[in-house]
Amino acid sequence: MLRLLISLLIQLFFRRPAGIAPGQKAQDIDAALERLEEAYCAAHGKRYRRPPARPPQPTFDLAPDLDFSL
Amino acid sequence: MPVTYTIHRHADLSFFNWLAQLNPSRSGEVAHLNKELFCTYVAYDALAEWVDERIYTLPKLPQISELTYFASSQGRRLYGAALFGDGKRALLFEVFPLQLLLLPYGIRHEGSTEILTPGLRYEIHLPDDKKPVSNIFSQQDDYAGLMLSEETQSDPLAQANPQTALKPVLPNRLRIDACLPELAYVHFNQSPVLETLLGA
Repeated sequence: MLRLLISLLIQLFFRRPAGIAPGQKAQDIDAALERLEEAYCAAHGKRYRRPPARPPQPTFDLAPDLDFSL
Repeated sequence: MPVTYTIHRHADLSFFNWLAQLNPSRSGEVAHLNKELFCTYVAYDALAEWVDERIYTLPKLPQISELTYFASSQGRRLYGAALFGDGKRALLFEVFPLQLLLLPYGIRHEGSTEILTPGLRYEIHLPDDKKPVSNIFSQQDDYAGLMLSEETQSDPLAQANPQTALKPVLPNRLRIDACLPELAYVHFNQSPVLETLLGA
């Protein structure tokens, strides 16, 4: 009975926030957390130290280069 | 003793105005509640696995200590808050009365299989704008609905102040009513059903 009630409740009342797609991921979470920390430090008179930026990763062209000749 | 959500009101109305206006285009914004709690909102499907597992899915964050809830004026919009960083920081995600009614089993971070179980504060934080909680979330052409309101709590054992003869006032608590086609009208807060659900 309880499972039935829960199932009924979920079936009737589940909804997603407007504009959020199923499975949508946050693109900007690191930047948002940095801004959050920066705001927190500023409000508490602390100096915010931005984490060191990661060195750019080398990029490789994964497409096979078959256009060569001996 | 039935477990219900206690209502806490805050004077910082600008924070709650911000909550009321959030939408995915404002993802990444930061706001603070009276400079005590710093929050960020990100457009993220925290309810991705809620239907099947009743857990919140969240992006990778520092260790989450607790979950609590915020609402805009009168409980019109509801947000879950994952607290981290000594409880001074939070990630906000929008929820609905259903998530208040059926307790989450925990949270899972994006890309992880582990289910974490931070403490759940049975609190809902609202603006102190003198407007009581009053909102109906209806579905299926208004045939079914969940209604939020608030009710006073009384402590029969509380001692009156000898000078004022007044008893200490307890914070109000959230009341959740449901109107279901199959079950007619159900008041969950006072029924054993909710207690069972909450204890499940």
